[in-house]
Amino acid sequence: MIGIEGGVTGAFAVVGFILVQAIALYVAYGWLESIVETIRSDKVN
Amino acid sequence: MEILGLSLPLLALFVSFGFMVGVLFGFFGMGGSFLITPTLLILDYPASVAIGSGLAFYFGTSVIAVLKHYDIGQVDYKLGAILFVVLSVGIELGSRLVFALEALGIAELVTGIAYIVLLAGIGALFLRRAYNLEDDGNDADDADDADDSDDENPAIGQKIQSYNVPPMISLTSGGRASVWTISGAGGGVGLVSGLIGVGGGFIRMPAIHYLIGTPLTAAVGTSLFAGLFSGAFGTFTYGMSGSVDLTVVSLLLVGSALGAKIGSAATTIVEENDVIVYFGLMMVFASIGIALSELSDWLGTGSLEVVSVFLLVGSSFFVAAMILYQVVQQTGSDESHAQTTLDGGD
Repeated sequence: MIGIEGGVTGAFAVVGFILVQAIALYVAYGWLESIVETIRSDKVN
Repeated sequence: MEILGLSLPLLALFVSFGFMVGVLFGFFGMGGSFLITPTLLILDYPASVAIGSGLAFYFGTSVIAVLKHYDIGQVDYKLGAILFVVLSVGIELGSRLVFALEALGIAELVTGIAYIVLLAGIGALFLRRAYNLEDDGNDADDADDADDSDDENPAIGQKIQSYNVPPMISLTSGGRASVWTISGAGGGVGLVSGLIGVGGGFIRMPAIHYLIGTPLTAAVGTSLFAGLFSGAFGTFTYGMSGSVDLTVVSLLLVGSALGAKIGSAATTIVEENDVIVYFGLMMVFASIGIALSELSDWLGTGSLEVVSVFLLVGSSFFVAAMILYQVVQQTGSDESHAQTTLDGGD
Protein backbone atom coordinates (compact mmCIF):
# COMPACT_ATOMS: atom_id res chain seq x y z
CA MET A 1 0.00 0.00 0.00
CA ILE A 2 1.26 3.46 -0.87
CA GLY A 3 -0.16 5.93 1.56
CA ILE A 4 0.94 8.82 3.67
CA GLU A 5 1.95 7.99 7.21
CA GLY A 6 -0.61 8.99 9.79
CA GLY A 7 -0.67 11.91 12.18
CA VAL A 8 -2.19 15.35 11.78
CA THR A 9 0.33 16.41 9.12
CA GLY A 10 -0.20 13.20 7.18
CA ALA A 11 -3.99 13.55 7.35
CA PHE A 12 -3.81 17.14 6.08
CA ALA A 13 -1.51 15.93 3.28
CA VAL A 14 -4.01 13.22 2.28
CA VAL A 15 -6.95 15.65 2.22
CA GLY A 16 -4.87 18.26 0.34
CA PHE A 17 -3.62 15.70 -2.19
CA ILE A 18 -7.13 14.48 -3.01
CA LEU A 19 -8.47 18.06 -3.18
CA VAL A 20 -5.75 19.12 -5.63
CA GLN A 21 -6.12 15.94 -7.70
CA ALA A 22 -9.91 16.35 -7.95
CA ILE A 23 -9.56 20.00 -9.07
CA ALA A 24 -6.84 19.04 -11.58
CA LEU A 25 -9.00 16.23 -13.00
CA TYR A 26 -12.02 18.52 -13.24
CA VAL A 27 -10.00 21.14 -15.17
CA ALA A 28 -8.23 18.55 -17.37
CA TYR A 29 -11.41 16.73 -18.38
CA GLY A 30 -13.13 20.10 -18.91
CA TRP A 31 -10.44 21.01 -21.43
CA LEU A 32 -10.72 17.59 -23.04
CA GLU A 33 -14.47 18.03 -23.37
CA SER A 34 -14.14 21.46 -24.97
CA ILE A 35 -11.54 20.10 -27.43
CA VAL A 36 -13.90 17.23 -28.38
CA GLU A 37 -16.78 19.73 -28.78
CA THR A 38 -14.63 21.95 -31.04
CA ILE A 39 -13.62 18.99 -33.22
CA ARG A 40 -17.25 17.83 -33.42
CA SER A 41 -18.60 21.25 -34.40
CA ASP A 42 -15.80 21.63 -36.99
CA LYS A 43 -16.79 18.23 -38.43
CA VAL A 44 -20.48 19.20 -38.60
CA ASN A 45 -19.64 22.50 -40.31
CA MET B 1 6.02 -5.69 -13.06
CA GLU B 2 4.66 -3.28 -10.50
CA ILE B 3 3.87 0.43 -10.73
CA LEU B 4 3.18 2.42 -7.54
CA GLY B 5 3.07 -0.86 -5.62
CA LEU B 6 0.33 -2.38 -7.79
CA SER B 7 0.53 -5.00 -10.53
CA LEU B 8 -0.48 -3.85 -14.04
CA PRO B 9 -3.74 -5.86 -14.12
CA LEU B 10 -4.76 -4.41 -10.73
CA LEU B 11 -3.83 -0.92 -11.91
CA ALA B 12 -5.98 -1.33 -15.03
CA LEU B 13 -8.79 -2.80 -12.90
CA PHE B 14 -8.88 0.23 -10.60
CA VAL B 15 -8.87 2.79 -13.43
CA SER B 16 -11.53 0.93 -15.43
CA PHE B 17 -13.61 0.19 -12.32
CA GLY B 18 -13.40 3.89 -11.40
CA PHE B 19 -14.54 4.73 -14.93
CA MET B 20 -17.54 2.40 -14.72
CA VAL B 21 -18.47 3.69 -11.23
CA GLY B 22 -18.16 7.22 -12.65
CA VAL B 23 -20.53 6.39 -15.52
CA LEU B 24 -23.06 5.03 -12.99
CA PHE B 25 -22.51 8.03 -10.67
CA GLY B 26 -22.93 10.53 -13.49
CA PHE B 27 -26.01 8.75 -14.81
CA PHE B 28 -27.87 7.87 -11.61
CA GLY B 29 -26.52 10.74 -9.48
CA MET B 30 -25.19 8.45 -6.76
CA GLY B 31 -21.69 8.71 -5.30
CA GLY B 32 -20.73 5.11 -5.93
CA SER B 33 -18.42 4.87 -2.92
CA PHE B 34 -20.67 2.04 -1.68
CA LEU B 35 -19.19 -0.09 -4.50
CA ILE B 36 -15.57 0.85 -3.76
CA THR B 37 -15.27 -0.26 -0.11
CA PRO B 38 -16.73 -3.78 -0.60
CA THR B 39 -14.54 -4.30 -3.69
CA LEU B 40 -11.45 -3.40 -1.66
CA LEU B 41 -12.64 -5.71 1.12
CA ILE B 42 -13.00 -8.59 -1.35
CA LEU B 43 -9.51 -7.78 -2.69
CA ASP B 44 -8.25 -8.41 0.88
CA TYR B 45 -7.54 -4.84 1.91
CA PRO B 46 -7.88 -4.37 5.70
CA ALA B 47 -11.31 -3.00 6.72
CA SER B 48 -9.89 0.34 7.91
CA VAL B 49 -7.98 0.87 4.61
CA ALA B 50 -11.03 -0.16 2.52
CA ILE B 51 -13.27 2.23 4.48
CA GLY B 52 -10.72 5.07 4.62
CA SER B 53 -10.02 4.80 0.88
CA GLY B 54 -13.78 4.59 0.14
CA LEU B 55 -14.36 7.80 2.09
CA ALA B 56 -11.39 9.50 0.39
CA PHE B 57 -12.81 8.50 -3.01
CA TYR B 58 -16.16 9.95 -1.94
CA PHE B 59 -14.45 13.19 -0.90
CA GLY B 60 -12.74 13.44 -4.33
CA THR B 61 -16.00 12.88 -6.21
CA SER B 62 -17.74 15.42 -3.92
CA VAL B 63 -15.14 18.06 -4.79
CA ILE B 64 -15.79 17.43 -8.50
CA ALA B 65 -19.60 17.49 -7.94
CA VAL B 66 -19.40 20.79 -6.03
CA LEU B 67 -17.14 22.32 -8.70
CA LYS B 68 -19.69 21.24 -11.28
CA HIS B 69 -22.53 22.76 -9.28
CA TYR B 70 -20.51 25.55 -7.66
CA ASP B 71 -23.64 27.59 -7.88
CA ILE B 72 -25.23 24.89 -5.71
CA GLY B 73 -28.56 26.68 -5.83
CA GLN B 74 -30.71 26.44 -2.78
CA VAL B 75 -28.49 25.65 0.17
CA ASP B 76 -29.55 26.06 3.78
CA TYR B 77 -26.11 27.08 5.11
CA LYS B 78 -27.20 27.16 8.78
CA LEU B 79 -28.65 23.65 8.53
CA GLY B 80 -25.61 22.58 6.46
CA ALA B 81 -23.21 23.84 9.16
CA ILE B 82 -25.10 22.03 11.97
CA LEU B 83 -25.25 18.90 9.82
CA PHE B 84 -21.53 19.08 9.14
CA VAL B 85 -20.81 19.14 12.90
CA VAL B 86 -23.14 16.22 13.76
CA LEU B 87 -22.09 14.24 10.67
CA SER B 88 -18.47 14.66 11.72
CA VAL B 89 -19.25 13.46 15.26
CA GLY B 90 -21.05 10.42 13.75
CA ILE B 91 -18.14 9.69 11.39
CA GLU B 92 -15.64 9.94 14.28
CA LEU B 93 -17.72 7.51 16.37
CA GLY B 94 -18.11 5.16 13.37
CA SER B 95 -14.37 5.14 12.68
CA ARG B 96 -13.57 4.46 16.37
CA LEU B 97 -16.02 1.56 16.23
CA VAL B 98 -14.20 0.18 13.14
CA PHE B 99 -10.82 0.29 14.89
CA ALA B 100 -12.35 -1.36 17.98
CA LEU B 101 -13.89 -4.10 15.80
CA GLU B 102 -10.56 -4.49 14.01
CA ALA B 103 -8.87 -5.06 17.37
CA LEU B 104 -11.45 -7.79 18.04
CA GLY B 105 -10.80 -9.24 14.57
CA ILE B 106 -14.40 -8.94 13.38
CA ALA B 107 -14.30 -5.63 11.43
CA GLU B 108 -14.41 -7.31 7.98
CA LEU B 109 -17.34 -9.51 9.04
CA VAL B 110 -19.42 -6.64 10.50
CA THR B 111 -18.67 -4.35 7.52
CA GLY B 112 -19.44 -7.16 5.10
CA ILE B 113 -22.82 -7.90 6.72
CA ALA B 114 -23.67 -4.18 6.78
CA TYR B 115 -22.93 -4.02 3.03
CA ILE B 116 -24.98 -7.12 2.25
CA VAL B 117 -28.02 -5.51 3.93
CA LEU B 118 -27.36 -2.04 2.47
CA LEU B 119 -26.84 -3.09 -1.16
CA ALA B 120 -29.72 -5.58 -1.10
CA GLY B 121 -31.95 -2.82 0.35
CA ILE B 122 -30.97 -0.26 -2.29
CA GLY B 123 -31.33 -2.91 -4.99
CA ALA B 124 -34.83 -3.81 -3.76
CA LEU B 125 -35.83 -0.11 -3.76
CA PHE B 126 -34.66 0.35 -7.35
CA LEU B 127 -36.34 -2.86 -8.50
CA ARG B 128 -39.56 -1.67 -6.83
CA ARG B 129 -39.22 1.67 -8.62
CA ALA B 130 -38.69 -0.15 -11.93
CA TYR B 131 -41.76 -2.29 -11.22
CA ASN B 132 -43.84 0.81 -10.37
CA LEU B 133 -42.68 2.55 -13.54
CA GLU B 134 -43.80 -0.46 -15.57
CA ASP B 135 -47.10 -0.41 -13.74
CA ASP B 136 -47.51 3.31 -14.43
CA GLY B 137 -46.78 2.68 -18.09
CA ASN B 138 -49.47 0.01 -18.22
CA ASP B 139 -52.02 2.17 -16.50
CA ALA B 140 -51.46 5.75 -17.60
CA ASP B 141 -54.49 6.99 -15.69
CA ASP B 142 -52.89 6.04 -12.40
CA ALA B 143 -49.54 7.67 -13.22
CA ASP B 144 -50.29 11.02 -11.66
CA ASP B 145 -51.60 9.39 -8.50
CA ALA B 146 -48.43 7.29 -8.22
CA ASP B 147 -46.22 10.38 -8.62
CA ASP B 148 -48.19 12.15 -5.95
CA SER B 149 -47.78 9.25 -3.55
CA ASP B 150 -44.00 9.22 -4.17
CA ASP B 151 -43.78 12.82 -2.94
CA GLU B 152 -45.77 12.12 0.20
CA ASN B 153 -43.83 12.04 3.41
CA PRO B 154 -44.08 8.59 5.03
CA ALA B 155 -45.88 8.42 8.41
CA ILE B 156 -42.63 8.00 10.36
CA GLY B 157 -41.20 11.13 8.71
CA GLN B 158 -44.30 13.15 9.59
CA LYS B 159 -44.17 11.87 13.18
CA ILE B 160 -40.47 12.77 13.60
CA GLN B 161 -41.06 16.22 12.06
CA SER B 162 -43.91 16.81 14.53
CA TYR B 163 -41.55 16.65 17.57
CA ASN B 164 -40.94 20.22 18.70
CA VAL B 165 -38.31 19.62 21.37
CA PRO B 166 -36.35 22.86 22.02
CA PRO B 167 -33.97 24.27 20.93
CA MET B 168 -35.63 24.85 17.55
CA ILE B 169 -34.00 26.55 14.55
CA SER B 170 -35.64 28.33 11.62
CA LEU B 171 -34.94 26.79 8.23
CA THR B 172 -34.03 29.09 5.32
CA SER B 173 -36.71 27.42 3.24
CA GLY B 174 -39.33 28.22 5.89
CA GLY B 175 -40.52 26.12 8.82
CA ARG B 176 -38.65 25.11 11.95
CA ALA B 177 -36.83 21.98 13.04
CA SER B 178 -35.63 20.70 16.39
CA VAL B 179 -31.84 20.62 16.81
CA TRP B 180 -32.36 17.15 18.35
CA THR B 181 -34.00 15.87 15.15
CA ILE B 182 -31.16 17.33 13.06
CA SER B 183 -28.57 15.85 15.43
CA GLY B 184 -30.25 12.42 15.39
CA ALA B 185 -30.63 12.31 11.61
CA GLY B 186 -27.16 13.74 10.87
CA GLY B 187 -25.41 11.76 13.61
CA GLY B 188 -27.02 8.51 12.42
CA VAL B 189 -26.00 9.11 8.80
CA GLY B 190 -22.48 10.06 9.96
CA LEU B 191 -22.19 6.88 12.02
CA VAL B 192 -23.13 4.75 9.00
CA SER B 193 -20.63 6.71 6.84
CA GLY B 194 -17.80 6.24 9.31
CA LEU B 195 -18.66 2.60 9.94
CA ILE B 196 -18.86 1.33 6.38
CA GLY B 197 -17.06 4.04 4.39
CA VAL B 198 -19.86 5.39 2.25
CA GLY B 199 -20.51 9.02 1.48
CA GLY B 200 -24.09 8.45 2.52
CA GLY B 201 -25.67 10.87 0.04
CA PHE B 202 -28.36 8.28 -0.70
CA ILE B 203 -29.44 8.31 2.97
CA ARG B 204 -28.38 11.88 3.85
CA MET B 205 -30.55 13.57 1.23
CA PRO B 206 -33.75 11.61 2.11
CA ALA B 207 -33.02 12.22 5.84
CA ILE B 208 -32.81 15.99 5.27
CA HIS B 209 -35.97 15.94 3.16
CA TYR B 210 -38.18 13.53 5.10
CA LEU B 211 -36.97 13.84 8.72
CA ILE B 212 -35.97 17.52 8.91
CA GLY B 213 -38.59 18.71 6.41
CA THR B 214 -36.40 20.67 3.97
CA PRO B 215 -37.91 20.95 0.46
CA LEU B 216 -36.35 18.56 -2.10
CA THR B 217 -34.45 21.23 -4.08
CA ALA B 218 -32.85 22.69 -0.93
CA ALA B 219 -32.23 19.17 0.45
CA VAL B 220 -30.06 18.27 -2.58
CA GLY B 221 -27.89 21.40 -2.25
CA THR B 222 -27.64 21.19 1.55
CA SER B 223 -26.76 17.47 1.34
CA LEU B 224 -24.00 18.23 -1.17
CA PHE B 225 -22.69 21.10 0.99
CA ALA B 226 -22.64 19.06 4.22
CA GLY B 227 -21.35 15.96 2.37
CA LEU B 228 -18.29 17.74 0.99
CA PHE B 229 -17.08 18.79 4.43
CA SER B 230 -18.01 15.55 6.15
CA GLY B 231 -16.19 13.66 3.34
CA ALA B 232 -13.09 15.79 4.03
CA PHE B 233 -13.44 15.11 7.75
CA GLY B 234 -13.85 11.34 7.19
CA THR B 235 -10.74 11.31 4.97
CA PHE B 236 -8.86 13.28 7.64
CA THR B 237 -9.95 10.89 10.40
CA TYR B 238 -8.76 7.78 8.53
CA GLY B 239 -5.73 9.70 7.19
CA MET B 240 -4.64 10.26 10.81
CA SER B 241 -4.01 6.51 11.13
CA GLY B 242 -2.50 6.22 7.63
CA SER B 243 -5.52 4.17 6.46
CA VAL B 244 -5.97 5.84 3.05
CA ASP B 245 -4.35 4.13 0.07
CA LEU B 246 -3.61 7.12 -2.16
CA THR B 247 -2.60 4.97 -5.14
CA VAL B 248 -5.96 3.21 -5.21
CA VAL B 249 -7.94 6.43 -4.60
CA SER B 250 -6.00 8.34 -7.29
CA LEU B 251 -6.47 5.60 -9.91
CA LEU B 252 -10.18 5.33 -9.10
CA LEU B 253 -10.59 9.11 -9.33
CA VAL B 254 -8.81 9.30 -12.72
CA GLY B 255 -11.31 6.81 -14.15
CA SER B 256 -14.31 8.11 -12.23
CA ALA B 257 -13.96 11.79 -13.23
CA LEU B 258 -14.00 10.82 -16.93
CA GLY B 259 -16.80 8.30 -16.45
CA ALA B 260 -18.95 10.82 -14.56
CA LYS B 261 -18.72 13.28 -17.46
CA ILE B 262 -19.86 10.60 -19.90
CA GLY B 263 -22.54 9.33 -17.49
CA SER B 264 -24.08 12.76 -16.93
CA ALA B 265 -23.99 13.47 -20.69
CA ALA B 266 -25.75 10.13 -21.22
CA THR B 267 -28.77 11.28 -19.18
CA THR B 268 -29.78 13.51 -22.11
CA ILE B 269 -29.61 10.56 -24.53
CA VAL B 270 -30.68 7.46 -22.58
CA GLU B 271 -33.92 7.17 -20.58
CA GLU B 272 -33.17 6.33 -16.94
CA ASN B 273 -36.29 4.15 -16.87
CA ASP B 274 -34.77 1.90 -19.57
CA VAL B 275 -31.83 0.85 -17.40
CA ILE B 276 -33.10 1.30 -13.84
CA VAL B 277 -34.01 -2.38 -13.53
CA TYR B 278 -30.39 -3.34 -14.37
CA PHE B 279 -29.14 -0.96 -11.69
CA GLY B 280 -31.40 -2.65 -9.12
CA LEU B 281 -30.18 -6.09 -10.23
CA MET B 282 -26.57 -4.89 -10.06
CA MET B 283 -27.05 -3.94 -6.40
CA VAL B 284 -28.59 -7.32 -5.61
CA PHE B 285 -25.72 -9.14 -7.40
CA ALA B 286 -23.19 -6.99 -5.53
CA SER B 287 -24.88 -7.96 -2.26
CA ILE B 288 -24.73 -11.66 -3.21
CA GLY B 289 -21.07 -11.17 -4.18
CA ILE B 290 -20.19 -9.87 -0.71
CA ALA B 291 -22.21 -12.66 0.92
CA LEU B 292 -20.21 -15.22 -1.10
CA SER B 293 -16.97 -13.52 -0.08
CA GLU B 294 -17.94 -13.74 3.59
CA LEU B 295 -18.93 -17.39 3.09
CA SER B 296 -15.60 -18.02 1.39
CA ASP B 297 -13.72 -16.55 4.38
CA TRP B 298 -15.83 -18.60 6.78
CA LEU B 299 -15.26 -21.85 4.86
CA GLY B 300 -11.58 -21.00 4.41
CA THR B 301 -11.72 -21.56 0.65
CA GLY B 302 -10.64 -19.08 -1.99
CA SER B 303 -12.72 -20.50 -4.82
CA LEU B 304 -15.80 -18.38 -4.07
CA GLU B 305 -13.70 -15.18 -4.02
CA VAL B 306 -13.42 -15.20 -7.83
CA VAL B 307 -17.20 -15.52 -8.15
CA SER B 308 -17.77 -12.69 -5.65
CA VAL B 309 -15.36 -10.32 -7.46
CA PHE B 310 -17.03 -11.26 -10.75
CA LEU B 311 -20.50 -10.52 -9.32
CA LEU B 312 -19.52 -7.23 -7.69
CA VAL B 313 -17.23 -5.77 -10.36
CA GLY B 314 -18.78 -7.60 -13.32
CA SER B 315 -22.34 -6.46 -12.61
CA SER B 316 -21.33 -2.78 -12.36
CA PHE B 317 -19.31 -3.15 -15.60
CA PHE B 318 -22.36 -4.70 -17.23
CA VAL B 319 -24.76 -1.88 -16.26
CA ALA B 320 -22.24 0.85 -17.20
CA ALA B 321 -21.63 -0.96 -20.52
CA MET B 322 -25.42 -1.09 -21.09
CA ILE B 323 -25.62 2.70 -20.67
CA LEU B 324 -22.65 3.26 -23.01
CA TYR B 325 -24.12 0.82 -25.55
CA GLN B 326 -27.43 2.68 -25.53
CA VAL B 327 -25.59 6.01 -25.93
CA VAL B 328 -23.73 4.66 -28.98
CA GLN B 329 -26.92 3.13 -30.39
CA GLN B 330 -28.99 6.30 -29.89
CA THR B 331 -26.24 8.56 -31.24
CA GLY B 332 -25.86 6.28 -34.29
CA SER B 333 -29.61 6.26 -35.02
CA ASP B 334 -29.82 10.06 -34.51
CA GLU B 335 -26.96 10.60 -36.96
CA SER B 336 -28.46 8.26 -39.58
CA HIS B 337 -31.83 9.98 -39.07
CA ALA B 338 -30.19 13.38 -39.55
CA GLN B 339 -28.42 12.07 -42.67
CA THR B 340 -31.74 10.75 -44.07
CA THR B 341 -33.41 14.09 -43.35
CA LEU B 342 -30.59 15.94 -45.07
CA ASP B 343 -30.75 13.60 -48.07
CA GLY B 344 -34.50 14.00 -48.17
CA GLY B 345 -34.09 17.77 -48.08
CA ASP B 346 -31.79 17.64 -51.07
